Amino acid sequence: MRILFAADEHSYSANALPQVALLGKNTWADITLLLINSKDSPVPSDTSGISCSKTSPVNRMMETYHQQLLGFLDPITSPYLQAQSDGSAKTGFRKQIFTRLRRGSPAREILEEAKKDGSDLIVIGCSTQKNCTWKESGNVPLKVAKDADCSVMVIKEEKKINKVLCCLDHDNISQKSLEMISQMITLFQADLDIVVLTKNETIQEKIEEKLFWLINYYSTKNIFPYIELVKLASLETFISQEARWGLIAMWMGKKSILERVFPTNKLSRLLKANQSSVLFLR
Amino acid sequence: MHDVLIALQTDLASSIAIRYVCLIENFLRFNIQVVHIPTFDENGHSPGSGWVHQTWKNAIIEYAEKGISRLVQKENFYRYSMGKPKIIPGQRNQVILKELQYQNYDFLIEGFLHSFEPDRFFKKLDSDLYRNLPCPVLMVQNLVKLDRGIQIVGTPDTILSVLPWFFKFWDDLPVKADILVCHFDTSNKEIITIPYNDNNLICRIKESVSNHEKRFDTIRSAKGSSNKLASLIRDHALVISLLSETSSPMAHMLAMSPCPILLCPEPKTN
Repeated sequence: MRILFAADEHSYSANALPQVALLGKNTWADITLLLINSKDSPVPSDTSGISCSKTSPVNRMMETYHQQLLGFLDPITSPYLQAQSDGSAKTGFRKQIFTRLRRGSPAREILEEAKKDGSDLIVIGCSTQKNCTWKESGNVPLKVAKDADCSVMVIKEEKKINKVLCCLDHDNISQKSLEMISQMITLFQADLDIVVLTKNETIQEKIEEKLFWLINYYSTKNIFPYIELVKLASLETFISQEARWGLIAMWMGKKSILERVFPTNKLSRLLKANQSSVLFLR
Repeated sequence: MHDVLIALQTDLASSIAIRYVCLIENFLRFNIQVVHIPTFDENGHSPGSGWVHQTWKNAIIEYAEKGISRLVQKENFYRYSMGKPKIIPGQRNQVILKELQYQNYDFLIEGFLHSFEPDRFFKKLDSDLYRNLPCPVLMVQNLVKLDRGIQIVGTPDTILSVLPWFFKFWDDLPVKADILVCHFDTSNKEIITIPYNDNNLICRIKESVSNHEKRFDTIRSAKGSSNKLASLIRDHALVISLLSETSSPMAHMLAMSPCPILLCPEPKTN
């Protein structure tokens, strides 16, 4: 698995680091720390987890994030490459943390990096005070969530995730996204709610079959999900009430009507309106 | 051993109900009878009349029998159920009510997927079946691990009527049980726990409990709106309450709980 953590120099990015570390620790994913510099300053070359020059503020920020991320990991059991106090690097035996710096339009640079890197998951923090945006750069999390080819996790604040709400409206669910949900549940010791979106009171046969399958799948992992029917018209109200519990996961596949129910302006409202982190699954 | 009727359809809700029964049956012992009411108007009107209609009806019943047998086999439910499932054509609520009235079951079980909007739940409460129930109904909305415990809920007027149902059926479950007395107040914005106003009632509850030589983990009271108090009954293996009018705050609160709910009829006054 490959995780791309996209950050800028503000506190909401730093606040998302513990979650990235937790994901890395439990999935042993390769992690790329991507720092976006939208200002005009020298761009250093790529690094591979080795302390780089401390001359520019941007480089210092990158190094800080890198060290903070390593700081959340157990130095003995962590499989990641670690810098030693004497400046040398201890080779990780399995996985690496890459640090990269890009300059330009943040959303575009993040999406390009994700494509180049073959990322499975983009993790991005956002400000809760400015309606889930990046300072000075605007709707970066929203643009990334909308246009990424892979799953995107938007972390609103450092808060305990008690529940994962999965919004299901079609039967086409990838194994990868299921595994990601399972990892989130295990990582955060959270409950799972499967929210079935309906137009009236009935569930489509294909979705009901998928639900049978999901219940069996999770019961083998000793996870008992709650099933909850929610009419499409009530979805936003439901999410705003339930979202205080933690993490909302939404399957945004091609067959998903969520893509139509949540066009840009509504997706924006979803991100802005509630306190929870949101995981867009693809 | 209690005699229990479980109404099954070949759907997800019934599958969840069966799995829940298998969970609790490990600790309690039931004689379980399965009943299924096939829907004849599913694919349009019946063809013809006389023997043509009868042949068609027999085919539907045979198909339903196979469907229910498959469901019972798939969920390994055959280990628990007694005898063959009864396949009884007719109007679902009427068939179940008749079966309950004539066969003297201790309670009814049915699967019922939880909805965010309460209208489905209210429709159920308002149905002929629920308004005339001779015994409690276990509405299985979700499969919940038993270690989440049992929550017995009532208002100051009803809580002492709910307890006997718990003592009758559920106190052999090896899980913790709590009692919650709800004071509904639509003007309140936050939940307030007010034990001091309920000292008299709490004492009576404790007396009732000790008379049955039982113990509860917590006995508490809370005041607030249905919406706010609903957060106290969201994560339990079982919620037990009296059947309420749909217009009541208790019904509104119960509608928001995704847990399995045992709805008990009001005790009959002689």
